[in-house]
Amino acid sequence: MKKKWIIGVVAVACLLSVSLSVGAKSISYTPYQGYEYNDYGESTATPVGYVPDTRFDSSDMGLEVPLDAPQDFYYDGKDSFYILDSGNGRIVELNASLQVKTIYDTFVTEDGEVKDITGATGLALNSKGDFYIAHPDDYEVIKIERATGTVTQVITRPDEKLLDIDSPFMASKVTVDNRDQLYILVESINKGAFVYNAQGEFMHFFGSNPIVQSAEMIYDYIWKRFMTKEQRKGLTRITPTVFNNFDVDGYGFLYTVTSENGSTAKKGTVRRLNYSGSDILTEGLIFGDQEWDRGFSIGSKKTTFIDVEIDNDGYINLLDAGRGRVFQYTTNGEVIAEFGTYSEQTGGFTTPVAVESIGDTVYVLDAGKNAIQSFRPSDYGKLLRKAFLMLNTTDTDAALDIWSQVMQLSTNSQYAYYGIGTVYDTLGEYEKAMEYFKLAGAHDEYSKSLREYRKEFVNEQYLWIILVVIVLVLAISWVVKAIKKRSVLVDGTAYSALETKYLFPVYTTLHPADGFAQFKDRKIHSLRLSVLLMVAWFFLDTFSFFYTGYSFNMDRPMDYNFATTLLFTIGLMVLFIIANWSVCTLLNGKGTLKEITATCSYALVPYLISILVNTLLSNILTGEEAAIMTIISAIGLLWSALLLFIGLQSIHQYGFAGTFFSIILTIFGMAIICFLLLLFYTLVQQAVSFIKSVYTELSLR
Amino acid sequence: MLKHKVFRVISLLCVILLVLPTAVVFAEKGTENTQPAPAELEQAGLTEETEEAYRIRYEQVASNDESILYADMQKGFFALQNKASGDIWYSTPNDSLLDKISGGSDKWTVRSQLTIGFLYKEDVVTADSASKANSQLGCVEMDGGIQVQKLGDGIRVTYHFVEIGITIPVEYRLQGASLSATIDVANIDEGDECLLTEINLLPAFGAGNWQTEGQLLVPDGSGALIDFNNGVECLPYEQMVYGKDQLNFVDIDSSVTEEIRLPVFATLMPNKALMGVITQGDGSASIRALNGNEDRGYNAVSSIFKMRALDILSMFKNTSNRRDLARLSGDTEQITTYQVVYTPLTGADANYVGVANVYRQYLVDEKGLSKQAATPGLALNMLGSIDVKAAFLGIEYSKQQSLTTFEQAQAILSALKERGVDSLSVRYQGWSNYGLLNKKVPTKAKALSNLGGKKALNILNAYATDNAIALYPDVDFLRFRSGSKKQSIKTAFNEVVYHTERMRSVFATKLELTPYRFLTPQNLKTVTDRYLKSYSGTGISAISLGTLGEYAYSNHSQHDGFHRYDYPETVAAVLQNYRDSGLALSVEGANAFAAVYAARIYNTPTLTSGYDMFDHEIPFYQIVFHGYTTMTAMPMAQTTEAAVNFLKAVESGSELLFDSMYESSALLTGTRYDHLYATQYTLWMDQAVELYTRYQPLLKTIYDQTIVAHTELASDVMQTTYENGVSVIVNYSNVDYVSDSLTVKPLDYAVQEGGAAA
Repeated sequence: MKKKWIIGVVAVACLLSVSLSVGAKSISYTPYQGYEYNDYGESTATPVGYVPDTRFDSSDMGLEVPLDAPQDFYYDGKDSFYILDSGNGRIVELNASLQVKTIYDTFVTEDGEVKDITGATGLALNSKGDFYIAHPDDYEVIKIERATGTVTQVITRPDEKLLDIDSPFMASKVTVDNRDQLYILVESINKGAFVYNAQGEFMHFFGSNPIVQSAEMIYDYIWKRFMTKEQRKGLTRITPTVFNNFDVDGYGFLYTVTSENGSTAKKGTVRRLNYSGSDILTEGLIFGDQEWDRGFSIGSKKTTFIDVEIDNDGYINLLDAGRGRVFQYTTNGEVIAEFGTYSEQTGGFTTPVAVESIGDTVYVLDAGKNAIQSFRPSDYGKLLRKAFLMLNTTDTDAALDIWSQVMQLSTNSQYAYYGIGTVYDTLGEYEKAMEYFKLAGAHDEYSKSLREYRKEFVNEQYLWIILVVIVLVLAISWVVKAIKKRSVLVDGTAYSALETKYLFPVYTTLHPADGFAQFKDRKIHSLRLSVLLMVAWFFLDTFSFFYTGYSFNMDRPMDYNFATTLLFTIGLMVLFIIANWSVCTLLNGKGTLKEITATCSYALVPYLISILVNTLLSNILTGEEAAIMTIISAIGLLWSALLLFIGLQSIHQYGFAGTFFSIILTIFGMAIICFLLLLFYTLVQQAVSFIKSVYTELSLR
Repeated sequence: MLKHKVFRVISLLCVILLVLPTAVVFAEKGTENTQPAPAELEQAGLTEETEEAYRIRYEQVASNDESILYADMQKGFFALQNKASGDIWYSTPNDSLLDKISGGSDKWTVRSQLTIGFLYKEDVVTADSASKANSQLGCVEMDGGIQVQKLGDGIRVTYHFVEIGITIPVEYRLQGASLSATIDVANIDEGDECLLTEINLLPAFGAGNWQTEGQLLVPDGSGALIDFNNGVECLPYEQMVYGKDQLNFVDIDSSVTEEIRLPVFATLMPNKALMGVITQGDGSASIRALNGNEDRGYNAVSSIFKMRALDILSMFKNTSNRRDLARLSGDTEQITTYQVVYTPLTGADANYVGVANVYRQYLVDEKGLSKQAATPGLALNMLGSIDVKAAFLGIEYSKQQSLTTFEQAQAILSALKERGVDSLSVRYQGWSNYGLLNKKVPTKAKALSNLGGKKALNILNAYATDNAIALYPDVDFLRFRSGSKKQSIKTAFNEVVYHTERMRSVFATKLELTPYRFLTPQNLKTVTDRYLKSYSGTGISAISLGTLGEYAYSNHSQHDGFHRYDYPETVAAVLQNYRDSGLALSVEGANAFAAVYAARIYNTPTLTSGYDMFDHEIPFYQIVFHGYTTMTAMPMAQTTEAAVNFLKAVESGSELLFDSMYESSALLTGTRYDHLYATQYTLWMDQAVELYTRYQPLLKTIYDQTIVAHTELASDVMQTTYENGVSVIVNYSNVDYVSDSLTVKPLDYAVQEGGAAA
């Protein structure tokens, strides 16, 4: 049989208008909402970045035989779209207005036999315009010469003994880089992409996803130590995850995407690989949705990237089949827009399979609707795309202008505030910059602007500052003097003025060994004072929550919770006291409950002072000087710990080892009490819910 | 108690009304001559082999000056003929025998007058959805399934679903040129075993076949048209009239949609159209549309009477024995009728503007719609105060954070005036009670002290009056966060229905925000009466009852259930009361039953949900109300494409709406109200002034004019013509629109007055 090449139906597309956005349907509804993630990983409302433009179904494209479950499409970067119409076993070439140009539906092998490509899933074109088609059911990738329709190359499983497993060669996706190297993704083999040269010779594997170390793996590892061989066999092996799809960007780097699943963290679902196969995206970027849906839809709605595409501006389009969404990111991981949803509406998908773009227009191929849905950037999306390109510009006027415009459309956008803050920082208007960095949630940048602002402030207000420093020094020396004065023995007694009931915490802080010993002898400890100190802890904690300087304060006023604060101050203290008392009663400790309470509270004094000092200092210090605060904090903590240790030793009349042992047991006791409380709570909750259900059931009968 | 008595009297009256004509008919029956039907009613595709069950034999059963009703006295099929035009509308397409495309249930639906949803009583507890039956298989093809009686002006068909023992009587009567189809709900017999959930009335009346040209009109959002046989493969369109029931709150709702605001639908064909208006039972109805595609041979739109809903309760939630229980919502005893009036249109009226005209006339005649369009201008939605979490010495409390005080509101208004915006209106949200979202059900109209209190409000009111600015302080009677459980709507399991705020990303509930609930409709009268007394003390002459226009819902509680059937009437009574006390009203949305009372409607839908089935988006809602009521478009600040939103306002003759606050909008970030971003007045003022300056001269000339024509001149180029001859051409495409007299640039509009370009 002679080679023949049939051009199918060449539908003459009626090109009434060349423009893209004159659509087949005049519907302008957007069936999804816009959002952005703040630095706490919470979604906040923003305008929609991309709006549905047009849905092109088979008749809009001018196809006589409608598409049937198309699996992939490819834009050649010039003027043609190629759809792999898998159900019909053909390739459809469209022009940039998505009107049919050519249909390739008959392919022959070099032996002259007809080649059926029904069921193929991957399509790519090389620089000459020849097709590569990945066909997992036939275990092969074929190259078809475009001019003749002849299969000129058949790539099957490499012969080399490279593969230690004998999985079939289920090639699902294929892509070609700018050197005409072929990358093939094989679902069943997780060694990375198979790389072939233009002649079809296997070269090597590329960019296998690393095994992610996670707590789950460590747990598995430990668990396995206790298992028999048979049991171990039953376990699923943790293997490098297979990536779902890939794309080559303008620089020849390979982007890969994978799904988020139980054993891999959210990080690393998108990678940009250089020639040596290592990821060159900033480490730790999270792509896709960051919030948890609380298991409303178990399993089905996890972020599952099935396609990636890099547009002309270098922005990344990711297709998430989990939620039916396209995410558009910058290479720094900033989200420009997320759009699409699962629905039978314009702009919604039923089975999205692939994403492509021309300029800033994004196209999604839907195998369920047998249609291509296009999206165009909204006012907001256009602005953001422009603005992110200007993040590193030196033209401050232009940058300020564009970021202000972004802010004007979305006062929730942290990017806008960040952009404006950066401009003001460059311009030397540090106070303004700080204000915007605060709105942007940019702690480090705030801290840097603060440093510059502080410099200016010191230069301008040095007289006042000197005055304040003098006053401070005087105040401290007065306090020191006052303590010294009272440290002298009062005439006619064996004790100084510090050793009175209400000044005693000061004495124990300075002279712990002697001080705590007096609890037993003189009963000088006060319960009222103890409670006061505990309450002071609560208030100081609250104070530091609200008034720690922004450079160091990761807490937002809106997140303040009375109960948690109470629990982690007074609650913790009470728990320790009860646990210690329980333990020491068993261990022949001599301390009473009141003494333990007083010891614990009095020991807090240095720590409380360190909280106060740090909170005040945090407002004038910057990130680089954090060490000062760490040191103060450490001194406070160690001092308090030391006081606690000496105090407990003294009141229980233990030796060093005994005290140490009792504290360890106390901590253990605290854990047990917590566990019991939790258990009790859960049981009561279960019982209540059970009784409620039974009651409902009975009342319905 | 009084209410029950009233109901009893009404039902008695209804029964008498129903029985009387029947009796008269029986008296006349002997004398009436049966006239043969004209030849054109002959069924298409009839052959010798056609089974008896599919043969339809029409005879004339009633006629008046304008129309004739033919019916098959054995099987209940009927046809409505308009005398003037000769157009015939069939209850079942007369060529259904030729339909080789429809398969499955569609094949039976097209031949049925009714399809029903029902549940066996014993299955209710474990059911997750209702079973379906249709009148062709369930009645016509069964012995004794159909009984047809002649009435003077029509017929009464009793559909007896033999196998399941349900009997549904429906009357079809001529009313001038129209035909009313009335389900005699009071006389439905559900038998011993089953309970009805819904009745789809005349699912294929006026259906267009696989080769007919035409469109279906669905009032989704602003209004949508479905081209006949558009080939789209998708689920049938079905949405509740007046929106989703707030009782059926779902945790996950991944896509957003518009709601149906009007109880109207229509089938449009070249030179003829058939429209339906749900005149009784619109509160518990949904509209269903079917398009022609590879699996369905016809195109039809119809209404469904929703009788009961299935509520699901998860039992033993935290255990492995988790199980779902179902229960049907309350009783339907007090419902007597469900009625749809079908009106054929011909010639120049056979389009959606004609449909709007007929429907508007119905609202004027029956629902008290009157011309009360308020002077148009720039509409502001002022945001007053919100509650935020705060802490003092570590103790949490919620405090009022003012967004716009009364004084600041005046500052915004005068700033706009200074820049030439001389016609303004203000809706003030969150000015009393607890700010933008109620804590408790409002009882008193007391201005918040952090906004300036009563004194400052009086000053603002005086300023507004002096400058002819309409001021609508807004009150939300329906939603609240705390209060007695008695006040809240409940499911059939007597569980309070909580509405939570959801994450935009994964749709999970935001746990840190208190959920809100809805007031039982039974309480509405007491609450609103009490509030009205207090409100008259403010001396303000207008009020915004936003949510009354926006929502519609039922209460499935076993103790004090409230059927959604009665909702429109309940709210209408409240609005009537408020209007009678001399207040000018504004509402949000707004559903038809509330819209007729309003001088101004906020947030009128200008878009349609964009279902795959839809082909065109039309401002049907605005065509109905324009000239009678002033409407605002969607708020400008938060739209995705300002230019498109502006053009939508221009196309529909709506006012521009800006959400507005004085303080920085960054205050709202991270709160319940973060969707109100970019509302600070300094952010949109320039844009507002520019658009106002351009648009106001046009708006002033058309605001009290009805729309007489609306056409698509070219792809994405729309023309709206008003009764005074002014016409507006809006170009949504990205190419110039060029006609003989004018050129309209992309994303721009042009005005023609009496034919000449201006």
